[in-house]
Amino acid sequence: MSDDDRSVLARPVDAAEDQPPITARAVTAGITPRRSRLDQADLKRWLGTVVFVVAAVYILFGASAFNQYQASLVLVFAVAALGQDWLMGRAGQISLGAAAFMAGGAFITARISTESWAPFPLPIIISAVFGCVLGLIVGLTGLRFRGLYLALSTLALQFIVAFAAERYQGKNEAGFVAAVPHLGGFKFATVQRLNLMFLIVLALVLLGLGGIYRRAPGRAWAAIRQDEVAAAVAGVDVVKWKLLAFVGSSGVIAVAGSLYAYQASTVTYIPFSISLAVSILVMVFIGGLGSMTGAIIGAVIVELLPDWLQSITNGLGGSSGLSAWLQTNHAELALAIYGLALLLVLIFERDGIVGLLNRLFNLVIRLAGRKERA
Amino acid sequence: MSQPATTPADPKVSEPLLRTAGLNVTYANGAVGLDDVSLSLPEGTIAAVLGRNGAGKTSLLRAIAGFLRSEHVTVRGEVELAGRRVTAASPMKMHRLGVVFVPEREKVFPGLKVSDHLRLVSSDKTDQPAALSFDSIERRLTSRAGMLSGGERQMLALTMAVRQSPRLLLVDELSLGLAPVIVKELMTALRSLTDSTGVPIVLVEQDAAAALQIADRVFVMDRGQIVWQGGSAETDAGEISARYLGVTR
Repeated sequence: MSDDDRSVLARPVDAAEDQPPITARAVTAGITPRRSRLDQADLKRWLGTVVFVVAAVYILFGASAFNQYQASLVLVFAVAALGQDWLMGRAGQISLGAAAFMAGGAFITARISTESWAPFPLPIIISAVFGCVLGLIVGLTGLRFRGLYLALSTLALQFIVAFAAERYQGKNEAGFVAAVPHLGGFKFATVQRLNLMFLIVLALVLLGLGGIYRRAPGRAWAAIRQDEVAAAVAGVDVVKWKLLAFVGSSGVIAVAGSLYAYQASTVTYIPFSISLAVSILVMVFIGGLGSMTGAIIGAVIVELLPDWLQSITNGLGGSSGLSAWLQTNHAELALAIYGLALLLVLIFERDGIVGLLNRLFNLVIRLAGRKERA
Repeated sequence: MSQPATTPADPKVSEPLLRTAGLNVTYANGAVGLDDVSLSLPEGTIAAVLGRNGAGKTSLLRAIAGFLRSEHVTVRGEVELAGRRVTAASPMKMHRLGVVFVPEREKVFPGLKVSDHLRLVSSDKTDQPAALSFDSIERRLTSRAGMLSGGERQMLALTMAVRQSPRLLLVDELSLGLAPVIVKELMTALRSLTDSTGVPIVLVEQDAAAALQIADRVFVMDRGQIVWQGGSAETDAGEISARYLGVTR
């Protein structure tokens, strides 16, 4: 038991001493935990930070041009997956609206980044606010429903936004061009510099969300995700917290859309299809629902798997039969592998890849403990 | 506890904290949950509500706590808390007014640690004295609630309820599926809670004998109506069980 766990115990009254079943003494002494869970959580946070910093240094200074480009996509979608995880992994609400919220952020950013009144990073902030407002509207209507019905109502949003975006784009087939962001004289004109900006945004999102999840809102969402009735009984304002998760998550996903506008520099309605929404959903599931590390791992896998598959199938050589088929169909193969991975996650490891990592972590801790005792 | 400035009061003289008058509950399919239920409960008292399955006991608690209203079930009649009419209030409103409901099921979160449960309900005032605590809960703070036994879950649910500083506690089927020794421990805990803080309790029970050990007043329900009521001294558990609960002596 850690001090943190202990602190939730109130000081018991010393009345009713003649009532043996009601303990009238201080917290049970003499319990010596082998290794408190909180230490482990700290250790994991440190590990995560180290991995993040190492990856950031590699992305910024070690990666090839192509790897840098891949990293820029991973970073954008890591932010989107974190937003999706807020709603799905924390508050337990299913949404298919991620692509719509991303589209909102991307279009806003592309349109206003060229205006003199909206210098960087204002477009990102305005996108976030727009995402929050859109999330509020969708949440107010959608949260009257639960589960599948909520998912369907967010699907309606997807169709509405796709239609609106297509109409808005109109005859402008080339799409809207986002201005190159710059802070003073520092222009984020290269992929490397964009990645620096994306890494900073990702770090801020991670720090912000981590702080929220560790505090009372995180506990409220955890309770709602587990059991809405029990949460209401415990005095959690279920409607309020669900709505807040919807609003916040939409804001974060819109920020991802804004980053996407800078990454792609040209925004059209085409990428923001339902399949994008599904792939963001898949990121969260494969990585591990309810885990920020999981969201990032999911983004890495979903974004990079097609490229990995392509390099593998190209390496197979040959111009006929199976290898030729694989070379031309690696994208479909990637989809099939997502499907398979989803099934495996659902059947064997509900906590996704992070669940596997946690088991590995616990195994290492156990082995280390055994060595310590020996 | 922050609220109960009330002393253990004499039930006969104090104002009723809870009063229902002509309370009717009709479900969407036309089934009658409550039929003209009127009762009152002063501070410092425990009311046992007895009756068979489907007698309307849980409907009564859920109607008071505001849950039926939020589920679009028709609730007519009066619910008053400390003289204030609260019939149409939402569960959140009732919770803010200090009505804490311990349901039969869905009262703990299997995936959360016991300590998370306590943190969820104890906001910032963690060092206030607890009016109720159980050894077995204190010993299992780092366990997930899904790993607790039925008795421990009930203890956790009661601990959580008391930490929400209730003015009125509604407990549904306290003894369900629990060993007699655990039931006795829980009942004793509730009695001393009411004695030390004055918080009145409505206790829905099937086990008449166990409930009568701690109750001041007894209400027996059948088909949505209160068919018998009296002080616990004048109530014979055996007779109640035989007449209304279908228990043969």
